Amino acid sequence: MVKIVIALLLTVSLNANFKKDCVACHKSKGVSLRKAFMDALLVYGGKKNFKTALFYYCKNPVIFNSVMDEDLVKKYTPLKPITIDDDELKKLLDEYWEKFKVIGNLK
Amino acid sequence: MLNSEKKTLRRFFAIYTILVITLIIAVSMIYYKSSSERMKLEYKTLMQDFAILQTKRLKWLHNHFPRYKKYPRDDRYNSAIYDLEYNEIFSTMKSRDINFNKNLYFTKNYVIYFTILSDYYLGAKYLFIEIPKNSALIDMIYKKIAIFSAMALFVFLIIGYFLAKLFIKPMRESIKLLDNFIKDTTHEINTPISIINTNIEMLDSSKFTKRENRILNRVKIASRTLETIYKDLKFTTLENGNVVKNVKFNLKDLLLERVEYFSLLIESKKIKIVLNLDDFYIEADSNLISRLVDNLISNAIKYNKINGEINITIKDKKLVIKDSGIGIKKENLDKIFKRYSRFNSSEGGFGIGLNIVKQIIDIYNLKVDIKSEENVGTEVTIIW
Repeated sequence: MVKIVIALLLTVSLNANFKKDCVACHKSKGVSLRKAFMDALLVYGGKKNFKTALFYYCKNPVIFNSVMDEDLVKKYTPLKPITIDDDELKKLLDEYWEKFKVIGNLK
Repeated sequence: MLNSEKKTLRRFFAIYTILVITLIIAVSMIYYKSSSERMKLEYKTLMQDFAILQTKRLKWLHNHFPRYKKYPRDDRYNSAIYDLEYNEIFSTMKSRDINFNKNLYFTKNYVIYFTILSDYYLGAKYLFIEIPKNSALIDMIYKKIAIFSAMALFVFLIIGYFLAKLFIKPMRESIKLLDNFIKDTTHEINTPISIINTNIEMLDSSKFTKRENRILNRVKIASRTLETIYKDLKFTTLENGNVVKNVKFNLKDLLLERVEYFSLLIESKKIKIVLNLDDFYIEADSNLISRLVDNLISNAIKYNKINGEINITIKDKKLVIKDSGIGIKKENLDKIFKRYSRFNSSEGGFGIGLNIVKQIIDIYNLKVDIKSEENVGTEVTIIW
């Protein structure tokens, strides 16, 4: 799932917009950003580790770096590494974390 | 019981009690440690089950988040989850004492169990389970230790009592043997001493030559010394059988009489006697006071130098006997009243004289003060 997210992120422009590019694209492909987030969280845990892992995956989107379901990953393979600016990518990942994070949202 | 016996018993009991208490503390500590380990194991088993249950609930919530956002709670325990960066994700715990290094630990009111999750449900790596501490369990351990310690101490003290009796038995037997020997000897020397004294008094010294008179004087001195020893031994062996007959008399008269009694002995050592005696009437048993005075004068003569001096003073309800003798070492001053204590082997004796003095002082609640300097002399003050 994360690979798919990243694959979709590859298509965003230099001035990437999370809602317009990430969410819209995921929606069109039928891959839930929420599901991808929870799957990644299950493996990467903390905020910093989560973002670092996803950043690394975006730069190296190969199958053995993925934590997603194998069939789903294969469907979108081969993936190209993201080409956008590192700072832009970090901002997108920050937004992604803030939107779906668990901390502060439990009752 | 003799002072030496008391002292030995006190030392034995002190060492024995320290050993027993050390042993009880050591056993109690081992028991406490094993009990608390067992208690910890019981807590751990229980809390591990809670942790497994909580993990299942976290898994379910992870899969249904954010449709369900309510953190799983249980009446039996509180819990908290932390991510791998040690940030709190959610907590229902009452205690704020979070420790990532201990698997199981105790706070003032709670027991806290800590485990690491293999899957980071809701992003949680660390799971804490908290339950209220059952202080009754610890109280029961303390209670058991207190009861055990008291019982053990009681049993060991009884054993110690019998051990002490065994311990001092040889010493008692030696003292008893010595006492019996003195008692028998005293009884046996009574008649010969009486015969010697009576016959000496019957001799007419005017019929003897000067040389024979000197010899007679020596015999008189020896017989009086023997008589003093006999009286001391009699007093000691009849320690509990002495009947006290108090009468009023002048201590000055008694002193003069006793000095006269020792005059031959005093002359033989060429000792100068200085008397400064005020009238002082006391109510006491004259035989006992005589024993007291005799022993003090006898010591003042015995341990004096040739051409020495003895000052005897009665003033202000005080009897002071001061000699210019060999004195007593400072370290021996507090032991001089013990029976069979002797610090000078050059003079004879059983070491019972000052013990008799002490006994008489105690009978009449008198005070005694002894000042002594080696090779200068000794001053004994009896205060009424």
